[in-house]
Amino acid sequence: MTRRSLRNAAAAACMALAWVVAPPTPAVWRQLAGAFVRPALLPFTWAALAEAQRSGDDAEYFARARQLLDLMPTWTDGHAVFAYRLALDERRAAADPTGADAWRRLQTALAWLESARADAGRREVELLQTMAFLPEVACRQQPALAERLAAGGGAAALADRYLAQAERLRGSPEVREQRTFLAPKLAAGLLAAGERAQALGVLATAISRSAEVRDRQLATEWATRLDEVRRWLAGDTDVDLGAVYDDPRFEPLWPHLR
Amino acid sequence: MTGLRARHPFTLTFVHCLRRALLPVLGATGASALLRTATTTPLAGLETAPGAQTPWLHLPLVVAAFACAAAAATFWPLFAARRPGRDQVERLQRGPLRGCGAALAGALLAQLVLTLPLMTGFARLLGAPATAVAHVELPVPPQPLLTATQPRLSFALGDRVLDEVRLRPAAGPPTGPWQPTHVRVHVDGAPAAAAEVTFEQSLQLVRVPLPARPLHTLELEFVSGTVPLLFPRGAVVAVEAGTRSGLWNGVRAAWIYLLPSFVALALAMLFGAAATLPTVLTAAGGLLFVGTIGGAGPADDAVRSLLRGHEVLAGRTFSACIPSLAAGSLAMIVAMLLRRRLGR
Amino acid sequence: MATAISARQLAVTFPRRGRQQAVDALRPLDLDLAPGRIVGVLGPNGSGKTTLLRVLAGLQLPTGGTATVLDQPPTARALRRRVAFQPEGPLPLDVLSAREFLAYVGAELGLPNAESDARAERWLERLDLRHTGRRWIRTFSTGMQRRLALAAALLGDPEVLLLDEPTAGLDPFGSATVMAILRERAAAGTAVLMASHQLLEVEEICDEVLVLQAGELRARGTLAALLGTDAQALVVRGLDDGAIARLGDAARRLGGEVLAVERQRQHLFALFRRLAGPRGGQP
Repeated sequence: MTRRSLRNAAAAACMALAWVVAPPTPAVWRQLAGAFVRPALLPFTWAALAEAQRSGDDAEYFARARQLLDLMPTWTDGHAVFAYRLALDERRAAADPTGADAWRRLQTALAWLESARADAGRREVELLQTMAFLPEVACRQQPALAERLAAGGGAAALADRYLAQAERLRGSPEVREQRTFLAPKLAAGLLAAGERAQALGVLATAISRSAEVRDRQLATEWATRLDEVRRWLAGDTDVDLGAVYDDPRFEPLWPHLR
Repeated sequence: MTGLRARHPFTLTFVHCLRRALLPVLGATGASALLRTATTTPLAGLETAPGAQTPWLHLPLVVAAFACAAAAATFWPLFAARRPGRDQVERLQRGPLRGCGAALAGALLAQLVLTLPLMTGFARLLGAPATAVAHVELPVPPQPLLTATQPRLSFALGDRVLDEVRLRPAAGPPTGPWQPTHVRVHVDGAPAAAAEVTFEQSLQLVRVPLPARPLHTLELEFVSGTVPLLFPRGAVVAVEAGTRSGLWNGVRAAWIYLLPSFVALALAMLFGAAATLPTVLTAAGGLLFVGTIGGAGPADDAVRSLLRGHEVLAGRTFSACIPSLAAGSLAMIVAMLLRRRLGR
Repeated sequence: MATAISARQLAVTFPRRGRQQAVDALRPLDLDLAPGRIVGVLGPNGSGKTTLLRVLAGLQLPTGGTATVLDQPPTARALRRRVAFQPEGPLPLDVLSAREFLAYVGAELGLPNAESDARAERWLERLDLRHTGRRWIRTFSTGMQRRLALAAALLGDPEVLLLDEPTAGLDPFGSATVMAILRERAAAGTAVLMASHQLLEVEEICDEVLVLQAGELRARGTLAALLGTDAQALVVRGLDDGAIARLGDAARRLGGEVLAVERQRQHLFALFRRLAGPRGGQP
């Protein structure tokens, strides 16, 4: 056996071993192909995106954005920017009195971000937080959309769902605090949907989680306010709601406290 | 078979290029269709945009251009220095370009034959509309800024019958607290749209339907707002009424796609007296890349217009053809003069 | 027309390029070649043989002196068909078949298609290339390519043939065929100027030779004159050594000088032709 054939045999054995230890998946192949294709195509994809913005229509612009992000699937900020642009198109709000178009665009944008989660890696939590706040921003821009979402607990219910997923992925204090501070909006949405019991449950959970808020003074204050609301909603009309009415964070609940 | 045998540099190069490029182009077309399906992640709710399908049409087109140009440059010995048998061909050839012009034409015809089905058939599969509409960029006035201090801008419509006009101004920094700018559109002195149009952000597209009769002037009147609007070239596009054949549009796009190859081979003809084949191929490849995918020149515009359903030669594509034509023709003339000066 | 090729003080100097010094590829030389004559150009590599042929073919402008071919400057368009040039090296357009290549040459020489194809078939037959069918030229052996190059040169029935290494890479039969064709062409009045390293072949068919060295003409003339010999050989058979000695004595008595007595050797080509090959009967 010559030295050359020994070398070849050793190389083949290493390849086989590598295949067994870390079998290549379609994702790995995609990643490998992307590494070669990306540098060659990115400049032209960016140019095509700019051209679509300059002379194409919305559909072409977002299709180009998708092509760009197909080349850079892990760029979560990019996904967020284009999904937000898709959902928050002010130009179309005026021509959409029923909010149907806004609702369709919001669903598409959320589906876009949902599809980006697979490649987000460590930034999946940030992507879920981005998804959580998109419905609320869209509702502010298009009130008709808020009415459409009201039956399901409003934008806050959607936000809480995504934050809950984020919390399950990584229970960081930030995410937990976000859910705690979302409680007034979520409770207001549930009250608007006629789900009083659920709203009380949300408030009770938030009160108990207030203890985890890192700012101790804020934690105490927040728990007190939430408890005042909970008691009032539970039938204790002697509760003084002055501080609640003074706090704009509780504004969504004000209509339900009269 | 006597009469059918290719004997002239034009037919010889045409047949050779066709033979060499046919399989690569078929392969690239198949690969393009497969890759498009495999790599595009569909998203329910997003409208399809044929205008964004340009990469998949470019792929086989670029392969056709590269294959034909490379086949011609390697086949005809006078496209590069120190090629085997160059003396023999140079001595046999008549004409100031020693057959290079005929070889170039043969290569371009082969490319056209391969490109036509792609532009007319494959483009339709990628979503190109069956009909084309002329989109004409209106010439802009000298100071195309619409503000409270310069409240009117006029554009000549040239007696065209138009379907609509598309406004896409760039927004400047607000002159006061931000207020969207409202603009009233007049056509031939009469209001065109029932309501005013509003611009809130830069490059916002607003479509204004127009009456179907010959129109002379379009006037934009600033009504209110704090966002100055700049209308550079391409910001006001008139969409003509009536449609044209999409097939014919594809044919025109195919012709335009020949221009990068024309420039590349014309320059090969010029530098071929001194540069060897690897240099010529590298330079021609670079030129083709820049002229097609790179977007320098009219080819990219033509493909985009075709897929968008815009009439190919109506917009800026026509003017973009002129530098390519001029560069190629100039290279050929200089090559001709140089050969004459050098004797042979 | 007294001469087919005439050159006076013909010189070619390649100018200095970068670090390379100027090169005198051809120092001033005079040359006359009459119709029907075959002249061989000999010399080592780089001696200026190809440059001389390229100048006469109109592919290289001389930097000094003058040359005329068939009473016209070598670059004259009218000479394209009357003067054929067979350069050395591989053929161009090597993805064509032999017939396609000859059809192209014929068309460029202005031959009608039918006549061009008929002549092509004739030369392909004569040069043993008929069997090549649709094979690309690039798949041909060197010898086949040389033979096809000669066919292309002969297609226009030229009055002057300029050949650069016409038999390089040919087998002995191919060489013999080429030599026979050149002799026939010369007999028909074609002037042939051929550069070659094949001294035996040059000796066999050339009426005159030019010897170049470093671009300079070192010798010119008929072989007899250049070799400077008037010796004649008497070839006999059937005599023993004593009879040979007596024959030598008789020669001396008649005033001659016996230069050598040796046994005649079989010529290698004759042996080769006898032993090797189905085409041995060809010239």
